Amino acid sequence: MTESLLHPTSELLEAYVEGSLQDSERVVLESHLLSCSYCQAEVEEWKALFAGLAALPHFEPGPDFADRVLAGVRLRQPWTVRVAELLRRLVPKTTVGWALVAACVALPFLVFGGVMAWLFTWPSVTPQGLWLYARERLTDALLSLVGQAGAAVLESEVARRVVQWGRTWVATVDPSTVGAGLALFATLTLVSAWVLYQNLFRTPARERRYVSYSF
Amino acid sequence: MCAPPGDVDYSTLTDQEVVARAREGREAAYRELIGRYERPVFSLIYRLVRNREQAEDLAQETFIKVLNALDRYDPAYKFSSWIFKIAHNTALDHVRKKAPAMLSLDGSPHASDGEEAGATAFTVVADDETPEEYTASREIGRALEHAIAQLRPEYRTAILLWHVEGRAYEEIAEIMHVPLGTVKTYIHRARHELRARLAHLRPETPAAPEA
Repeated sequence: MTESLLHPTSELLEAYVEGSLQDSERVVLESHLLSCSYCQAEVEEWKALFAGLAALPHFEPGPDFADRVLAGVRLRQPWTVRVAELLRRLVPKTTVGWALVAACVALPFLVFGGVMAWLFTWPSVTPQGLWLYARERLTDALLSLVGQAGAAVLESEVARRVVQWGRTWVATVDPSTVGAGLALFATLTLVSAWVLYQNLFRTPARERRYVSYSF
Repeated sequence: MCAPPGDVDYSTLTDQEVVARAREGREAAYRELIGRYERPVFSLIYRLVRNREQAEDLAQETFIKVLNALDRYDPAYKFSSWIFKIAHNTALDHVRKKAPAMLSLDGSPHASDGEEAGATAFTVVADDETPEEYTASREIGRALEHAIAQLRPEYRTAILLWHVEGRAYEEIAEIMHVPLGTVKTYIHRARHELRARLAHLRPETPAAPEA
């Protein structure tokens, strides 16, 4: 066998410089290198290439790179900030908006008050009589609703207790509490409608948190 | 003295920990991620597209994609693999769109004569637009940058990730979404191409012993 046939391949020398040879292969190759100037030169060449590549510098983008990136990123806010932002968005931003909210809040009271005032202009209508009538109607409606839920359910112990509690509540509740509850319900309904209107028709399509970026 | 609550030293955290804080909406965590990867990502893209302005735009696009999709990041995987994968795909899409100008290093294979081939040959863009300007003013550095610029984009990504970023073969395969063997082939061929292109810088090599 001639000496040249014993030369390791270029791939083997590359793997040697890369450090991916098995120990046994590396020992054999290193013993060959001791006596072969050609392969030594080949290894040096690989080493020079590896060193040159490893020494390639990193390049730096422009100084405002991070700011430009963040301008295009939708920052995820903590939940506290998101809730605060939601509440802030509920607050009207114009005089007209405030006027509309005030009108929405006042409207149920005005309507309720107006109806009551109109009813009490009748001599036969008294507050006590009106309350008794309303309570009876409310009880009937409640029982009717529960009845529609099914006789079987009604016969259960839980349902019996619920009905009993409902009867007790209706019999003892203060009329002003019912009125306040209805007013609150009406108010919440109107405020919800206002929020819906704000989001559907008055909110810009692109939220302020989604900031577009430009170069 | 204790640090005030929320005053986190991000440099001591792992990528996964920083991502977790970014998901909580902390801008400092976003900035930390950008700071960690802006140079590697920009360098990779710059060497792929060979134009600073385009590289800035593509690097910016990469970070915006990544940071807007942190919810989809699986901490079981390396963050670096994910961001390099998006950087590679973003840059490669750009390079492919510019394919007619970069397909061939030696001119169009359909050229009928030498003049036509020369007219369609790949040329590295003007010196003031190339990474050479930013490389140490060593001849080997400039020659190496020039030789890398002439590699196929896939070879470029693979060899830069291995040699410059120190990524393992397995991670590069994941980043480039190719089999491990393909990555090894890319890197092996890229090194041989680089050696061939840098042959003019080679000192006199002893002749191989005759058979």
